[in-house]
Amino acid sequence: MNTKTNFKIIIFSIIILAGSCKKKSTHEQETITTVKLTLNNGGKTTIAQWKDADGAGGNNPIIDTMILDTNIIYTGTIEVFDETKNPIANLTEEIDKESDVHQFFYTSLGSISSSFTFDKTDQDKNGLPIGLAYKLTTKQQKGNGSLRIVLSHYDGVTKTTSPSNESDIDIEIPVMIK
Amino acid sequence: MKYIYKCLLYLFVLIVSTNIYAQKTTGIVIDSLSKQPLKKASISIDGSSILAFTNSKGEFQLTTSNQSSIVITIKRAGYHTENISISIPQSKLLVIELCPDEVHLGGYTIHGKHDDCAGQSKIELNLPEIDRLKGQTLGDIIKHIPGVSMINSGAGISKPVLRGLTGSRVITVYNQIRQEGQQWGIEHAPEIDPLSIGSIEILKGVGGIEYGADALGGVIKINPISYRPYNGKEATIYSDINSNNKLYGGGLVLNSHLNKKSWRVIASYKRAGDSKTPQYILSNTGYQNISFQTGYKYVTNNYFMEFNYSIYYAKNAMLKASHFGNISDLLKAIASDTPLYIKPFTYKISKPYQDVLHQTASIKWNTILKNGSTLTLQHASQYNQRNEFDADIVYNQNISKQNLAAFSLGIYTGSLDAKWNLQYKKYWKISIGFSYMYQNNLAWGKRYLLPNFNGHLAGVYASSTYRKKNNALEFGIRGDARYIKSNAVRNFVILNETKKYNGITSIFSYAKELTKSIELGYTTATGWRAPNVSELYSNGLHGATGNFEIGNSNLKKEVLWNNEITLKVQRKKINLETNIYFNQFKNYIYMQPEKEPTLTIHGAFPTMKYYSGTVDMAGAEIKCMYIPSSNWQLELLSSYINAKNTDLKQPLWLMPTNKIQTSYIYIPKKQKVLKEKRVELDCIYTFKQNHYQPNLDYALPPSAYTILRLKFETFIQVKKQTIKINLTINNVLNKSYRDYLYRFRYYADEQGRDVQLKIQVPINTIPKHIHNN
Repeated sequence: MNTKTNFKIIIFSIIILAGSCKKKSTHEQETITTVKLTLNNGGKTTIAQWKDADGAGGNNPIIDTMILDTNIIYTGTIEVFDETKNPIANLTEEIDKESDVHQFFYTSLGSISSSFTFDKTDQDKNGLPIGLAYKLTTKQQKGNGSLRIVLSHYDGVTKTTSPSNESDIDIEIPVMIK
Repeated sequence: MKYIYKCLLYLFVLIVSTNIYAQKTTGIVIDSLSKQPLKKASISIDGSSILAFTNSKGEFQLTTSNQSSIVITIKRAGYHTENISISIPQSKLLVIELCPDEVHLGGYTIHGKHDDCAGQSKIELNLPEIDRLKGQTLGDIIKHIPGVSMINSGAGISKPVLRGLTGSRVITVYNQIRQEGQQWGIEHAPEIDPLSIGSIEILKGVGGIEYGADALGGVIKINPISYRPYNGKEATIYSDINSNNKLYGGGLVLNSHLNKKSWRVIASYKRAGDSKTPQYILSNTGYQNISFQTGYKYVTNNYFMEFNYSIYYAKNAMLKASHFGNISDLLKAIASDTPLYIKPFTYKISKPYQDVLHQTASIKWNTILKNGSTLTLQHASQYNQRNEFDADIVYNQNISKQNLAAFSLGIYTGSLDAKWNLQYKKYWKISIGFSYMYQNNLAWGKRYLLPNFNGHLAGVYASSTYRKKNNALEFGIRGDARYIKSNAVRNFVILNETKKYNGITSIFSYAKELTKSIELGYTTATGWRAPNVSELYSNGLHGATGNFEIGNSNLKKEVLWNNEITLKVQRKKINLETNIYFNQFKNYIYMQPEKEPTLTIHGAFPTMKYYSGTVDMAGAEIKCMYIPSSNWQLELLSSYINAKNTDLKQPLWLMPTNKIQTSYIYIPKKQKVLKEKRVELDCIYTFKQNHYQPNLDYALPPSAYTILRLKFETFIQVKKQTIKINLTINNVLNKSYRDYLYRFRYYADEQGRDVQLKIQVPINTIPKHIHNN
């Protein structure tokens, strides 16, 4: 073997490695920062947000208290955003597109838990609830409690009316009935 | 100088005309430099345990049956192990020259390598032992060595733990190149094709003199199959099947040598589906490996050059049931006795999974200088790309992006090493070296976990050994400086930081042969390690662990003081190796859960933060072999470790459990050479981990368990080919158990019974011995 062949091999191996370490675009992070609940009663709108503007970790999320009146039926919707993007990304449509593998669950907690109840009003193509739209009914008991919102993801498992073992969203919002 | 040149030519077999009996092969083993006979060299017929030792005149005799050709392995501590092919009947006296390690390899470890009596613990696995285990992962090959444990994340991923230390505290050296990938995660296994392994040396304790700081736990040094040293071509075909995960795989090793040139090609493929426990399928635990490497070596009278290129790809599924959305899902998964996701068996790998591509290209040049010393220069380039795919958890408006990895990391490492080995007077061997490493890491993907960084690492070292009669003295010192410049991201804010670390690694070891059969050694060493980027800057959800991990950029370097006593007894029927060690760490870096979980939109996650503290570790290991008769061997292997954070007065998390293994080996008498049968029954008892922090872990350590393993080895002669067959049954009794270091122990049992069949078909062309005088 002569030196020329040696150099050919050296050059060959450098090319292989150089080719494999091209610059890649770096972080384009994806996250959900905001869950927004909008409640309608006649012309009156109530909004409650759970918002973690800097994503997971870092600063704590800012959580609104949901203020409700007694003995009212609200028509409600839930929306999900990624506010780290410009323009703000609305992820609600994504969930709607994949509604056959997703479902929201609303659980009333605390001493007033029996005083505010949810009924999902939308259905996916298989007739199972989604929970992007719902009816919220309050009774006359006043006080403070909280609402747990879980978005279940049915990945590889059949969607039922029960939550799955994988939660894409799992948050709690304080509730005040006055 | 002529003898040194000869040594480099790899000519170990010189055939001298001397007639002997047809059925017996006799030979003499000599040092290739001094031409002095070597006593106590062991001769075995490759793959079997028939052993002969050379006497004080270096002579040995092998009784063999009528075979056309056999391969014999000649081993002696301090010398390069040789496998040579000889024709039977052999009518000539074999003269075998062994090269001292440092001359032959152009690189040697300063301690433990070339003597019977180093003060430090070192274990070596050679080719026959590795052959028996070859179809398995690298982790399975080494996990039965006392002091070595594995963190398992499914069948395809196992990460070595040496004396309780893992991650960047253990350096893996493959073909004398420090393997550089993403070593920080507990589910990041070394990217090495087990088929290409020729021998493994495990150096426990501070092993950093030659390979850089960091190696506080030790060095796993893997040498690929050697280049063929004599003219001719050979090929071996390997095939594997396993019953449990329906693994199938095959490989090819090609070796060729003609005059000054040798080349080799090693290629393998492996595919496994879901593993199963005695009760259920572990859904999404399959894996796939493809590996290819090629090398070329050119040897002249005064130098050799070597070029190697390898590419390794692995795709590993992660147990689907181990993936959960948040802390409440996790508690639900732990509360359940069986995994919450069980599907019928499949080879398909679904999310979550990881894939890794590792490429290495290297050039090595070794020359003998006029004064007889050797100089080695080596350059290596490595590129490692890791993509981790989470089960879908975040949304993206662009559907095409759904198939992107949650995060990808690409790390390039370029290294340059220079080493000068010389003999000073009669008893001194000195090694002086320099090494430089450059690293560039890029991270991209949907989530942030690690920063982009540039790093430089440079070191110089000198080490020497002194050996005279029954005394061996070794010492070495090394200085390193590390520089890291990174762009860390904390909640969408980029922080540019530069860190500099430097430190000294040193080792002193003394060993003495008390009597002919008893050796006692003592080692004291100090080492250090700079915090790695994951410890400094990680900030995000690590899907593979389900923790929100937060780095600590104020971490200082970790410093270790290690003390160890070793004892070796070698008698006719008893062979004992034991050691006891104490490791004291200053600024030991560890993860600790925070009281408050991180509140995210996906729910609350357990939060782990990096801290440092003073840690004491003490342990002992024992390996004892008893040979009551020529066809029985009994082995006892055991290890003990206890580690404590002395600041908090608490045990350390994720320390290996204590183990005892007993092995019963039966080798039938009067066997035909190369048709040797061997049966081994191993009984492994693993204790419960009693040292743990009660409130730290999600679940209590699993109970103690015993598992049985049966190994059977035989040969079949088909025409001229000797086919080697290995049958191993793991977990013979099909027992349900969970190991403390099994990462999925919270959700699922471990693999049930597994029958593994390995077949090796050598296709040899009979070597033409070179007559060179």
